[in-house]
Amino acid sequence: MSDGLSRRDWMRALGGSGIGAGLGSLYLSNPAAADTRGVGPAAGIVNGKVIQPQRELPILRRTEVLVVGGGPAGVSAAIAARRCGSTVVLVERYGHFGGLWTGGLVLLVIGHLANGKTQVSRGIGEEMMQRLEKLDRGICNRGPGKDPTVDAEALKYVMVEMVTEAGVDVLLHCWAVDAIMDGDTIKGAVFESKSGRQAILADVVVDATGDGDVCGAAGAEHERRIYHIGLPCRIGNLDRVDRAKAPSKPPKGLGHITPIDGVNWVNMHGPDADGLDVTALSRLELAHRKQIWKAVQAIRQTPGYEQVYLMETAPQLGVRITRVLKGVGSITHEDHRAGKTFPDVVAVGGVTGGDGARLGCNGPWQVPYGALLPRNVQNLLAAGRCISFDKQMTDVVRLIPNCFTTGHAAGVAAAVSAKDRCRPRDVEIAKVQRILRDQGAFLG
Amino acid sequence: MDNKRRRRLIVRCGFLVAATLLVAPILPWRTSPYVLASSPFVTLCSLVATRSIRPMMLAAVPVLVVCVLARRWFCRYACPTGWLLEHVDRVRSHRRAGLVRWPRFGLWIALLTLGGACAGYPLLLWTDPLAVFGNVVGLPWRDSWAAGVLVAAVALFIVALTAAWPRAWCRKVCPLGATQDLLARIRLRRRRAGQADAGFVFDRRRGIPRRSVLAVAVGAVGANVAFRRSDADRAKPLRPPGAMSEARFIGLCARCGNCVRACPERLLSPDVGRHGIVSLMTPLVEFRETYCLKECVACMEACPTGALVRFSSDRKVQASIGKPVINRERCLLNATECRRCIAACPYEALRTQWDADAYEAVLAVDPTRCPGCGACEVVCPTAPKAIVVRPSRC
Repeated sequence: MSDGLSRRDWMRALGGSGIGAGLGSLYLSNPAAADTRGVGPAAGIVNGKVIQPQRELPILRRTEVLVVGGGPAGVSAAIAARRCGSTVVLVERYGHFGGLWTGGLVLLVIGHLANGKTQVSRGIGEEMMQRLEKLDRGICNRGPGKDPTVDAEALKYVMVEMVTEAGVDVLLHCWAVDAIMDGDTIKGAVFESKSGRQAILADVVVDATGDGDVCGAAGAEHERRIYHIGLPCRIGNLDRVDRAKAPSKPPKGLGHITPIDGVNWVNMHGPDADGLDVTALSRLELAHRKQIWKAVQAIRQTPGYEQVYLMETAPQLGVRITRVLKGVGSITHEDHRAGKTFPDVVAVGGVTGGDGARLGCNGPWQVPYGALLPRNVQNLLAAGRCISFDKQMTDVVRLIPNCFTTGHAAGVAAAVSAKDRCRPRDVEIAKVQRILRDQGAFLG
Repeated sequence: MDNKRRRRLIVRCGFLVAATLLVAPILPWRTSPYVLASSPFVTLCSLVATRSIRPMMLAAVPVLVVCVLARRWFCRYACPTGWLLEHVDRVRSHRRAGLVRWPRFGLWIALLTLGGACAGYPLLLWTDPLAVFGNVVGLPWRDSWAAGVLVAAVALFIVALTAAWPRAWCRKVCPLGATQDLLARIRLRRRRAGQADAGFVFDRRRGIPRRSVLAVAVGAVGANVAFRRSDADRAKPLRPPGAMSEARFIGLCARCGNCVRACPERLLSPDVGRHGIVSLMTPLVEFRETYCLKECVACMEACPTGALVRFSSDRKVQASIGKPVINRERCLLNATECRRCIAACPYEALRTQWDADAYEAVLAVDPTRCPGCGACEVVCPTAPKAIVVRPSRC
C-alpha cells in the first residue's frame, strides 16, 4: 500500500467525521452560527496518521483587495487601496498594527534618506510620521537628514486612527494559514482565529506578512534565507541615574533614545536562525528573555543605575528575513550603484551612512514594479521585506521605509488591478504611478 | 676624439638614457625591474637563494655572457651609476695611485652576499649600483621625504667617496664590479687542435683563493645565525603579498623600490626606521584609503630578486599579506548591525558567529579564503579601527 490515504481509510475518516458532525450538531444551540464559526469536526488518527477531515470553509468576507499583514507595509497598502475606492480587508495576526515597527520595538526609522539628506521614502509612511509629530511624545529626532525614532504606543494609535478613517475592514488576531488557488491564480486566503478556520475571497491579494507566508502557500517561487534573530526591549528610569555615583564610562547595553524621556530601546543582534522554524523561535524567545533580564540586572548593579528597570520586551520576536520572493523584477546592488532608473518604478529607497558605505553608493535605489510580482502566481502582490532583491541589498530593503513605500505601491496597484479587472502584472503602470504621486509618494 | 672613444661615449649615453627611461616614472613600471635584474650580482645571488628560475632572470644572461668574455665591459660601457660617477672623478684624478692598497671591499660584499644566498639570505643586494640608480631615478620615495633623505644619503656617500678617492667605488667597493671580476675568471678556452676539452673551465692559474671560500662560508653561517634569531620579539612589519617569512624577505629584498612603484593602489612605502636598521628602505604595506585588489599581482611581478614570490591572483591566499585581527570592544556589529567589512570582503572570508557566553555576535575570518587584502580595514568606520590586518607569519 502507498503512503497516501487508502479508500478504506478515507471512508473511515469520512464516516467518523460524519458521526462527529452529527453528534456535535446536537449540542449547538444556534444552528445558523455553525456556518460562520469555522470550527469543524476534530482531526482524527487513522492508521497512526493524524488526518484532518476535509470540509467546506465558511467565507468570512468577499472583497476586492485583501491585505494580509498589518505592519508598515500592510497598513500602507490597505489605506492606499481604500483611498483608490476599492473595498479592502486588512488582516493582522497580532492585536495591534505596525508589525515589527511597533510590536517588534524597531522604533528607529532609517534608510529613508538618499545622500544623507534627501528623504526619498514618503507617501503614507510620511503621513504617519507627520501625525506622530502632533502627538506629545509621538516621535523624536525629526528633521532633514535625521533618523527619527517613534513611540510604539503612539504609532499603534495613529495607525488605528488612519485605518478606521479610511474605512478599511479590519480583522485582528487572525492568522493567514493558506492560500486559495484556482490554477495559478490566487482567489483569497484561509485564516485561523478564535472563530476557527475561515476563508476570505478577494480579486487581488497583497502579501504584507514580512515572511511571505501567502506567497509560500500559493506556491510562488521564492528563496529561503537564514538571518539573525534578536529581541529588542525597552528600559526605563534612565532619567533617574544618579550622576554623582555613576562611573564616567556608562555600562554596556543602554541602547538608544525614544520620544519618552528616560526610556531607551535596546537592540539585540542575536544568532542566525530559521525564522520559519517554530522550535527555533521558541528556543530563542526563552533564551533572549533570560538574557535581557540578566543584562538589565547587570546595568542595575552599576553604581548610580540602580533605578533602571526593564519596561518591556518586544511582543514580537525580531525575525529579520525569511522568505524572499523571486520576482518578475528585482532590486540589485548593481542597479543601485549604477543609479538605475526604471520606467516602472513604484517606490524609491535610501541608505544610511553605514549602508551607503557598505554598498559603495549613498544614492537612492529604485523599486521596479516587477519586484512585487511573483513569477508564477497571478493576482498576488508582495510588499515589504519579502519582495524580490539580492543578498547585498538585504539590510536596506528590510528597513521600515521600504516597507511603507512598497506597501503603498502594492495597495495602489492592487486597487487599480481590481478596478480595471486585469491581472496586477497587466496594470497600466503610468496610472499606478500617477495615483502614487497624488497620494504623496516620491518616485524619483 | 678617436672613433673608439666616440663609440664608447655613444654606447654609454645610450645605456644611461635607456636605463633612465626604463626606471624613471615615464614608462609603465613593468620595464623597470629588468634593469636591476640585468645585474649578474643580483640575479646570481637571487638564483642561489631562491633555488628557482624566474623569467626576469634572463635579463642577466647576456650581461653575464659578455662579462665572461670581456672583463668589466659592464663598467666600461653600460653602468649608468659608473658613468655618472666618472664625471665626479675628474675633480681629483691624481689620487688614483693610492687605491691599489685598498682592500677589495666589493669582493667581500659579493662573496658574503653569495654565501648568505646559499643559506637563503643574500643580505647585501641593496649595494648593487643599479639598485642605487633605481632608487635615485625611480622615485620610490615620492610619498616619503624621509625615504628621500635616506636615498640621498646613500647616493651622496658614493659621490663623496668618489670625489675623495676617484674610482674608489667602482674599483674597490662596488659588488657588481667584483662579481664581474669573479666571472672573468671563467675563461672560454679556445678550441685548440688535439685538445679534448672545450667550454667553460676555471683558469687554473688564478684558482680559487682560500679567503674567498672563507668569506662565502662566513656569509652563509652568519646570515643563518643573524636571521634565525632576529625575528623574535620585534613588532612585525606588514609586507607585500608574496613576502612569505620576514627573515627571508629582508634577506632577499634589494630595496630597489620597484614594488613600491608598481602598486596601483599606492599601498607600499619604504620603511624609514619603524622596524630597525635591517628593514630600512624595504617596502611596508599601509591600508589607508584603498586595499590590495583581488586580481592584482603587480608587486610580485615587479620584484627582480624574488623577495616577493610570484603567485597568481587566484592563489593569493598563499601569498597572504597577513590576517585581520578584530577588536570586539570597538566593533559595531552588535551596536549598529554594521557589517561593512563583511560586505566589503572580495573573498567572502568574513562572517558572523554567535558567542553564546557573551550573548553577542562576533566576526570570524576564514583563513583559507583571506589573503589579508585590507578591504575590511579600509571600510571599518571606527577610529581606531576595530579590524586591522596584522602579519601572520614569523
